[in-house]
Formats: sequence, C-alpha cells, structure tokens
Amino acid sequence: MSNTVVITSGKGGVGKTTITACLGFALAGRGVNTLLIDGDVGLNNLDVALGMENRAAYDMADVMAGKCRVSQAILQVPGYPLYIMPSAHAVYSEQIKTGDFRSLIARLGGSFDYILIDCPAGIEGGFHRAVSASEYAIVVTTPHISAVRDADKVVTLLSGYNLKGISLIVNRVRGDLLVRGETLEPKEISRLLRYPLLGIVPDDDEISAGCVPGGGESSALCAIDMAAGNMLTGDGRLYDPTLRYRGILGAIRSRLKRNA
Amino acid sequence: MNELARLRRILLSDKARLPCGFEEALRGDAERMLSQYFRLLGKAQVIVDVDERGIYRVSIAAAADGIYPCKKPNE
Repeated sequence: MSNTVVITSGKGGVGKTTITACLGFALAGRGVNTLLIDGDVGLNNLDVALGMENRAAYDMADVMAGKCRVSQAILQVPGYPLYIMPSAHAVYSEQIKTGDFRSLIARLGGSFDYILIDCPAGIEGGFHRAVSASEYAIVVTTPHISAVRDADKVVTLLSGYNLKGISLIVNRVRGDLLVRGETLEPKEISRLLRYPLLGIVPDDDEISAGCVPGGGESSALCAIDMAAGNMLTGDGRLYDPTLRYRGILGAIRSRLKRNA
Repeated sequence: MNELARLRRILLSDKARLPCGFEEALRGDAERMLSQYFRLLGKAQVIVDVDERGIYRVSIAAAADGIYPCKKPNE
C-alpha cells in the first residue's frame, strides 16, 4: 500500500502546487515511485508546475466517467519514477464526488509508494474530498500572519479527520529577515500550530520564476529535498535559510537584498 | 508589538471565538450529567477561556441543594 499525503494550506498562493511538484521530484529522485494527483479540480495547475501541460489526453474526470482506463490518465515525467494524474479543467469541482475520489485513490494505492494530492485552497468541498482520501497531511504556510492564521484553521479542521500524521512546511522564508528578527521564525510557527516542521523552504527567485523543478540546484530545491528525506526517514533535518546571511559577507548580501 | 506577539494574539482570539450554540450545548450536557448526581438549583454556569499557550480552560459551576444516592452498577 502507498502512503497517501495531502498537501494543503487554507490560504491560496503560499506555494502548495510548487511544493507538491518539487516534493514529487525529490521523492522520485530517491527512487520512490510517486504519483501526483491534482486535487484542485477546475483550477488545476500541477501539470504546469511539472512542465507537463497539454500532454494529457485523459484526466481524472474521464476515469471517473468511465471514458478511459486509469493507466490512460496517468503520465510519466521523463527520466523519473514520477507520475501525474491531471484533473479536469473543464469540469466543476462539485462534479467529482468525494466517495468516487476516495475509491480512485484506494485503487491506485497498490501501484505507488507515495501518492501526493495537491489540495485546492480553502476549506470547502474540494478540501474535504482531498483530505478524506489521505492518510497524512502536510500544511504549507508562509511566515506571514494571514497565512499562519489560515494554517491554524486548517490544522484544527484536519485534527477532526482520521489522519496518521500532520506536519508543516514553512515556505518562502527570507533568511535576511530572519537574521534581523523581522519575520516569524518557522520554529515559533510550529510551536503555535502544535505540529512538527517537515521543512523550511527559503524564498528563492528560481522557484518563484516558475522554473520546472528537477532541472537544477537551488536553495529551495535543496530544502525540499531535505523535507522529502524527512518524509522517508523521519530524520527531522531542516534547511537553515539564515546561513547565507551570517557574518560580514552575509551582512553585505542582506543589505543588497534589501536594496534590490 | 512584534509579529509573533501579534500572531499569537490573533490565533488566541480566533480560538476564543466559539462556534454558535457551542456554550449552550455544553451547558445542556453538563446540566444533564450533573443532575444525575445533584438536585440542581437553577442553571449551570459555563465559562470557556483560552490561555496564552492556546489551552482551553473550561469552568463549570452549578449550585445544588441535595445529592441523589449513588446507583450500584447492577441496579
């Protein structure tokens, strides 16, 4: 059986889809057979984050409607044991029933080591559908009060589901602001939300620019790779975004970043 | 106030805002349970608070002018 993990946030725009794609690449890079499912029906973009847009002939809605076999709606990312089942852009979220979605995930469970579900933003039907099909949840937030407040609401809701584990990824952490004490500390966020940190991902222009992961090295990809390692081993290794901003060189970098 | 203190305050005030009907339902259940043991005088008082660590503190106060005899398990 696979481990089914929903990646959720509550607030939109915190980097859920990018984190899902990058975690998928990181797990697959370690030889873990991974399937990514776009749970954001109608507003799906996971295929774009993977650079796999316009390649799918069929999608999740087609599988559920019996128009194709499951295998026909799954695409492999070239060179990786990484697969994606796109969701439908042309259907409305309400057309995908929670029970059908859960059955589909259960059917796929035997074929993959990990299934990552990219959850839609918000806490409505799409959230419930994605969470109720999952065993674990990763809550993505940024170190901003509005995002953490929504994450708090989400972890409260998640605690009502029968999940085996909930963990946090704090995304877009600016090391220069951390050094100056001008942003929330990821460990403080974890303490306030009462769930462990799976990863700390630094703010990274390479990722922000929409670069397809798996194609290069960046601090964010390195941090996400650590998070993937934590998923597999439970080591609890966390990226330190302040490293680049310590000492004299760090102070210069920090000043340049502020003036940029 | 720094960011952390502000966030902590917002999260606490979110938690302190109980869902509609929550306190009334809790009071009803508490009174039902207490009235199996005590002859209650009036309504129970329920106070739900949240401390600075986000822990709920629940106080239930009620007045009674007598107790009922304990029932044995096989009664």
